Amino acid sequence: MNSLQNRANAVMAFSISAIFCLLGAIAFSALIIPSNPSGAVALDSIKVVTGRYDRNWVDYKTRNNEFANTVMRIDADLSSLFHWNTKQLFVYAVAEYSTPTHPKNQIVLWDTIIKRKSAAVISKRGLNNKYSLIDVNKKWTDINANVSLHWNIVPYVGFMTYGHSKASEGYAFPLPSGIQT
Amino acid sequence: MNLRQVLTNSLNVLMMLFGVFMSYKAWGLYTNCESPLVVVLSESMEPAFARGDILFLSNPKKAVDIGEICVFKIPGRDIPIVHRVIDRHDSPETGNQLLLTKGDNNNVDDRGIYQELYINRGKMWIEPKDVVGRVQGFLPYLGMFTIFMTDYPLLKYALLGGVGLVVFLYE
Repeated sequence: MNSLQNRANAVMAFSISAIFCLLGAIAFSALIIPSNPSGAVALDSIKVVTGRYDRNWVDYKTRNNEFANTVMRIDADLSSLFHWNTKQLFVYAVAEYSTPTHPKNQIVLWDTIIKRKSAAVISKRGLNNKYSLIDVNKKWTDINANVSLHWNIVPYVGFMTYGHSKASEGYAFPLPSGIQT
Repeated sequence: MNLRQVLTNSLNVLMMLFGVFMSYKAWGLYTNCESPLVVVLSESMEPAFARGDILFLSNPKKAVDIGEICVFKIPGRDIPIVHRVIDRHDSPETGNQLLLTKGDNNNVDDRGIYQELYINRGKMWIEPKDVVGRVQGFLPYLGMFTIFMTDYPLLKYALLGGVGLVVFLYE
């Protein structure tokens, strides 16, 4: 009975330590794998409409909140980010701009989840923004935004890492009437 | 079994428990987080996080960036929510931001959750003061242990019984 206890104890202690060393090795080795991801987002058209509700039916209380509807094109090659510790890639397109009341604003326009290396080359045209594009101040006058592609590597075990592409040039938002500012 | 042996055993068990507790709290101080380790309870972040996964959190003072996965608490609700930031608006005063979150597996953003309680009606954003931590690391499956303990209290009593046996019978 004693020696069974001792044996079970020794086996458990050793296997647990070995498993955690392996997990640690996987987690830390994933930090130093070289990769060269590339991506670019461009906006083909921007239209500003006024409305009261957004896609989620959240009431913004008045009728003239300005929502921007964009048509995007996205090209990316993220296959080099897939290694033994990549569970999935969360890829999202971000519009970034600044206003007098809020110096830095970022809004996610579109996102997708990539689970396999074969699906990691993205080439999309004519995408509408998945989420409402509306500023805190609910107006798009005099704002210039640039767009970039960001990604988040979710590991099987270990650290969450992030990356992003270069930002595109600034896009100006037209007035709701369609006049380009 | 004699009294001295039982006392020695209880002392050892207590030292182990308190040692673990102290390391946990010290880790919380280092990461600036009350609870640097959480277990995922819902499926709103599938396929990234499944029920039973362990998340390592930290809460650095720098601004929340877009795309970061934040653990936040809505005033009046105990259970923290782990979702991704999809909107970020920084105010000129440092430290103040307006954030909107959404679970990867949800179709809509979290405004419905923010405004669920009557005291929170009209709450359109969360702020860094609602955020208790950001996800830095991930360990799959091992949190199922705590989920089993909460779902089947019998297991909890069995574990306590096992510890009691060790304290009283170990030589």
